[in-house]
Amino acid sequence: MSAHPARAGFAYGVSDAFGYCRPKTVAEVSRLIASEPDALLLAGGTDLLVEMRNREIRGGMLVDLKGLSELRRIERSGDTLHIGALATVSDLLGNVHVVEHFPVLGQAARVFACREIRHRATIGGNIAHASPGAEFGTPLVVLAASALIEGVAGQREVPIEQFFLGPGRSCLDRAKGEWLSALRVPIPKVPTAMAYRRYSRVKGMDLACAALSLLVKQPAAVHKREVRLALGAVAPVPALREEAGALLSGCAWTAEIVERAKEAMLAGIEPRRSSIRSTPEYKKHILGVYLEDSLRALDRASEARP
Amino acid sequence: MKPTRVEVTLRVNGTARRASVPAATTLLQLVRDELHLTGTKEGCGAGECGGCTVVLDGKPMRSCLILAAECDGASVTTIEALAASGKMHPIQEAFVETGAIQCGFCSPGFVLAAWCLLEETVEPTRAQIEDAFSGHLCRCTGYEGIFQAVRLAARWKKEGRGDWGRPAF
Repeated sequence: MSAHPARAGFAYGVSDAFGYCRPKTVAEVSRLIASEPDALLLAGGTDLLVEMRNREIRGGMLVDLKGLSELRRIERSGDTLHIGALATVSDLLGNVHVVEHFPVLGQAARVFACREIRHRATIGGNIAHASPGAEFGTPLVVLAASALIEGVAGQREVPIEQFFLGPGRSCLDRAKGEWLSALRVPIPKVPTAMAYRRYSRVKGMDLACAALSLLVKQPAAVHKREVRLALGAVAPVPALREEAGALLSGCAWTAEIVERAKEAMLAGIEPRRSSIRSTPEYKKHILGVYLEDSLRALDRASEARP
Repeated sequence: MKPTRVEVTLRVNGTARRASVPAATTLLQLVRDELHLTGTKEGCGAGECGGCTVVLDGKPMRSCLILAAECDGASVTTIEALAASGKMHPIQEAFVETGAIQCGFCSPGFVLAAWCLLEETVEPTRAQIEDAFSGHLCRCTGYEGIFQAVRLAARWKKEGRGDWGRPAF
C-alpha cells in the first residue's frame, strides 16, 4: 500500500496474501482451524506481526480472537484461577488474584518486554508459541497449571508440562481444530513461597538467556517443605526438575543439600551452543547462582516471619 | 489465500476516519501512509525501538505490531494530537528545555510514553520512568536529558503550569 517504491519491500499488504476475520464464537474458531490449513491465530500479535514482517509467514487467514471478549477474563472459581488466553501481561499485573497467589507469575510479567508490549501481548500467545524461553512457561510449570484446549470435538484440559513438545511445538492438533483458550492455575492451599529469576543481557526488551522458577510449599515447616523448580531457555521445553525438587523437599537447605540439588538441576541440561544470547557454560553457572540465591532469600523470609 | 482488503473505522486524534486497506496493513502504515500523520516513526518495525508508539484506547502501544484491521472501532492518539492547537504541549516544552531532543526521530515515542506515564503517576520515581522508557531507544541523548524532561514536566503539571488539557481522544 505504500506509495514509496523504496519501502515496497516492507509493505506486506501488497504482495503477500493475507485474509482477516474476527470470529464471534469459540466453535467458529475451532472450525476455521480445522478447515483452513493456513489459518493464523492472532491474539496480541507481538510475535506474529514480526514473523509477517520478516516474511517467515507470507500469507494466510488471520483469525483475530479479540472478538471473543470472554477469552480475556481472569476469574477465580473455588481453588482455581482461570486465566483466559487473551489476558494481557498488563492484565496479569493488575489482577488481585495473580498478585496475591502467584507472585512467580507476577514477577515474570514485570520483566516481560516493555510497557507497550505488556499492554498487548497475551499469556495465551506466550504459551501457544511453545518457545523454550517463554516467560510464563516455567512459572506455570511449577504452579502445576493446566492448559484448556478447545477443538471441534469440544474441550480438553492437559497438564501444562504435556502441552510443550519441543521448540515451537505443542500438543495442539490442528486437524482437530485445537487451540489454547485458557490456563487454569490451582491456588495453593498451604502457605507457599515462590520466586522467578531470569538473566537477560539488558533489563528491558530482551528475551531470557536463562530463567528459573521456584515454588516451595510450607517453606517455614522444614520437614513438610515441598519444592518444585523449573528451568527456561536451556532445554527444548520449560523443564521441571523433579529430582532437584525432591532433594530440596522435607529438609533444611544445608550447603551440601543445595550443592547436590544444583547438580541434579543441571544434570542432562545441555543448552544449545548456537544460542546468540550466552554460552551453555554461562547459562548453567547463572542458574546455579539463582537457585542458591533464591533458596537463601526464602530461608531468610521464612525466618523473619513470626 | 487471495489478498483481502478490510474496511476500518476508527477515531484518530478525536476525528472519525475510515480506510480500506490490505488485511496485513499495520496500524503504523495506516497512520503514516493513508492518514499522512508522519509524526509516528518506523524505526525497527519489530517492536523493539519505540519510535512507532501511539496511544490506543488510552494505553501506549506499538503501532508496528498491531494490524489496522484490529483497530476497527478503536481510538488512536498520535503525537500530532499533543500540539493540535499549534502550541507545544508542556511535555514537549520540557523536552526542549532539558535538551532531551537531538535528531528527534525517537522523540514522538518518548513524548507519548511520558504523557501516558504522567497521566498515571503524579511524581514518577526514577524506577517508574526507567520502566516507562525501557522499550524506547535513543541513540543521541544518552537518556539523562529525557529523564530530566519527565521530572520537569511532572513539576510543571503539579504546579499547574501550561495547558495540560487532554489531547482529543
